[in-house]
Amino acid sequence: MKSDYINPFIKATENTFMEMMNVKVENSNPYVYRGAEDLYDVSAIIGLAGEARGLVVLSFSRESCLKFSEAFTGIKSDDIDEIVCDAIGEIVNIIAGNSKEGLLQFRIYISLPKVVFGKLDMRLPRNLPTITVPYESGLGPFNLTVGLKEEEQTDR
Amino acid sequence: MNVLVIDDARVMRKIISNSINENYMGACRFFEARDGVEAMEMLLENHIDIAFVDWNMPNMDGLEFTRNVRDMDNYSDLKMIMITSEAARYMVVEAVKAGVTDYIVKPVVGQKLWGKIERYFLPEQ
Repeated sequence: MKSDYINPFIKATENTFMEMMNVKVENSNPYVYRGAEDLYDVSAIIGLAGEARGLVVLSFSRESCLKFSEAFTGIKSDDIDEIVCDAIGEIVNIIAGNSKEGLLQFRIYISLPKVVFGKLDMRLPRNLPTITVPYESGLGPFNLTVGLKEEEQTDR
Repeated sequence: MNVLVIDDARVMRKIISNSINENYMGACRFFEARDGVEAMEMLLENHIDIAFVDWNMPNMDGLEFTRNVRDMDNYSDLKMIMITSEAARYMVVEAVKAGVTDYIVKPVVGQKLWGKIERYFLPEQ
């Protein structure tokens, strides 16, 4: 994946956590997505379609998910409930939407977010370049995974 | 002032309502809707002064809701502020063409909301 494609998502991630939750997040080196091992306990997924297609995944451990949700909403949850799922779904929604400002060469539409549990074996299209960016923060670790590919133009 | 908050995420509805209430304590009555369909029902059942509208929602998204409201005689000039993660300029243009009054890009903080209310509709003292 071109670094131009991943950078808007990295920037949006850092801005969102700082503006919305006053949490500084720091990434380490991105790497090619390896599969289920790159997912934690809870993941929020949003699809991308249009002139480029792919997905954005935010994956948290149970503990960090609860902390981020409380930081986002101001509401403490003891378990991964509707509020927590709403919160992380909204966070990935904000990151995906904000990233589009750095990808103006494509007209991209984002789906509604979905929250899934466990280390899913996400079967991504073989030709979808997908990168995982590991993050650390004062509220715990999480991974940002982005798959993005320009749609091929077909001659008519 | 009757405020309609439309977002499929309950936490966002609460964040927006609480942020507004923080600055306008007691001056606002809040109505909530999960999507454009529920929001249309709210408009028919209540008098709404200002609406904060998410874009990406199931059943009826914010854009379709906006266009539908602009076709309503009694709400053709309703103040509609779109609050959305959609930051790309072409999306803002699309929303303005649909008829939104103003646009806020999430993440949303209280000052942004208060500024819009003060700009378009000062609450009664």
